[in-house]
Amino acid sequence: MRPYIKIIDNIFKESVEYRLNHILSFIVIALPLIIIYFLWNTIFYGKNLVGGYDKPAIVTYYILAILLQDFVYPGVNYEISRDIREGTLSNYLIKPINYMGVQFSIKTGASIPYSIVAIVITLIFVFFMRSTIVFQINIFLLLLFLLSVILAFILAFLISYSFSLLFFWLERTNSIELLLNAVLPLSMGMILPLSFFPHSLEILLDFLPFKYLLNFPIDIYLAHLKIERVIQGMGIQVIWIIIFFILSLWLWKKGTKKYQAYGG
Amino acid sequence: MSIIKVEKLTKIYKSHISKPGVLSTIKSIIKPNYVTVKALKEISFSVTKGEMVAYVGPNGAGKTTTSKILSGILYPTSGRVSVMGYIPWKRENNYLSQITFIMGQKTQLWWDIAPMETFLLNKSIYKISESDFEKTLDELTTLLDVKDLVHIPVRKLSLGERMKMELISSLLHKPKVLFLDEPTIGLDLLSQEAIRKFILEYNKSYNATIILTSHYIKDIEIADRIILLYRGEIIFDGNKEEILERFIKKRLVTVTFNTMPEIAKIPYNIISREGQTIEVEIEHKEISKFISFVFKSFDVKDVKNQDMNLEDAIKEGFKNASLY
Repeated sequence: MRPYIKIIDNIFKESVEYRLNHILSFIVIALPLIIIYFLWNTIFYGKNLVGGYDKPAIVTYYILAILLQDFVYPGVNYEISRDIREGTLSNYLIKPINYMGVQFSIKTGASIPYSIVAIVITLIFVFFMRSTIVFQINIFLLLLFLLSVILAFILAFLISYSFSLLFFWLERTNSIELLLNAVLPLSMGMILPLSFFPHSLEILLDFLPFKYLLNFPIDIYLAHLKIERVIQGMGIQVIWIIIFFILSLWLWKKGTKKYQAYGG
Repeated sequence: MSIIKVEKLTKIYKSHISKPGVLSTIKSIIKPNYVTVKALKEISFSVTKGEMVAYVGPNGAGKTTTSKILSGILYPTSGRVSVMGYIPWKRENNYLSQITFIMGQKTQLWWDIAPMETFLLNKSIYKISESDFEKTLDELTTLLDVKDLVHIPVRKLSLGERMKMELISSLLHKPKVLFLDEPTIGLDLLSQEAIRKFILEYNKSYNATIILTSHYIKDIEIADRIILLYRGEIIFDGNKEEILERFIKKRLVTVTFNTMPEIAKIPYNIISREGQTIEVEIEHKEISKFISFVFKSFDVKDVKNQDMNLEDAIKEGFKNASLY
């Protein structure tokens, strides 16, 4: 475990070197929050419920969605694609260390400064909007929410890791990126809560992994799910984690055989 | 006892060729065009423990490919390799803990933080004990004279300083087999010399086996043995004396006379004459015969034997190989 903890530490130290970036990420997080708040204020004008959500639930949904998206968005990992295409992967291959572990540590380490910024923004936001926010005080639900976020973080990492390993075979990155960026925000529930979608689409999304990255944990927080549904959902999270874990091991084994260690 | 054994090692790279134009791009999706490049063609050699081998060849000869296969980065296409009894590309932790690969053109250090952080990371990766770490670090930083720099972010170091840090970070676990890929590339003369001295020192004090790739003649000179690689084939394998003998067929000898003899009396190929001095081109093996001849026959003031030049020998070797 030690080397992986040291990597988290190094990533954190590295990010401290670029403090300005984190100040800028304040804007990146805060701006959409403000826009979304005013947008839904207008939509709710004269209505109590939209798509099964009342106004505080929707506002809370988006606050959580924006705060969590950085942890659970399984986009292409540029670190990995660069390692493969530019040959820096060799640095890890010659050491007695596990590459998946290295990348997981890097992802974890990189999440720390973001979390700090996110928490500060949440506190400010919550202070100004306390009347239109759902405060979950049920400790049990909060623990379930936290657990599902951790599972979502692991699942997101494994999906992104598996996709990024495809660069052992692909020369260009754009096609996968386009595909992911087209499918992910909608199917995770980043743009709209999934209950706004037609029922048939909702059922399809129940079986895919994406919903469990964002929409599912938030619905736990909002107490929108019965306990059986929560347990079932976490089971599905675990199943997808196992599937992508095995897939990534297989891709790694095949990919490193094909690896050509360009450059140098 | 040989620590590295390579038998009939072959590596073939397969890569896409993409031509410009929309039509050919679409074509290549349906039927991809491949080119195969034979980087290594059934090469064989072995290295004994503690030996320092210079692995020399023009760009694209397959030097780095060999090192990458031996260190487990690449899978070979065919052939057998054993290093300390391990098959490198299985990448067993026991094997990886005993080797290192240093690339002059690539950094393994964390760019934005101090080298010390990379050292500490390697300490935990290789499970180096606190006391060993302190001792080795002190030793290496003293030898390379960079004690004061270990806490400065890597990006602020000069190339030479960075290379020294690179060496330290790669040697903290005291590897037994080292692959050094152009470790002095782009460095100033003093840094080059410091690094050469250091490599030699490490080789001697730890009895470490070293495979050194370089284009600089001074790097090559510190090796016990030279392997010349040309287009994926070994064209020479032996020590410095052997390489000179093999590729330098003729040498220049300068003779200065007290009294100039008649030229016709010297039955050798005289290529220049200036006052009392002549320059003679002579077959390698005839030199001692020639020298005793001039001393016996004439009143000689001075004989200068041109140094045998390793660089010329290597160039000659590659030229010969390119003829086939």
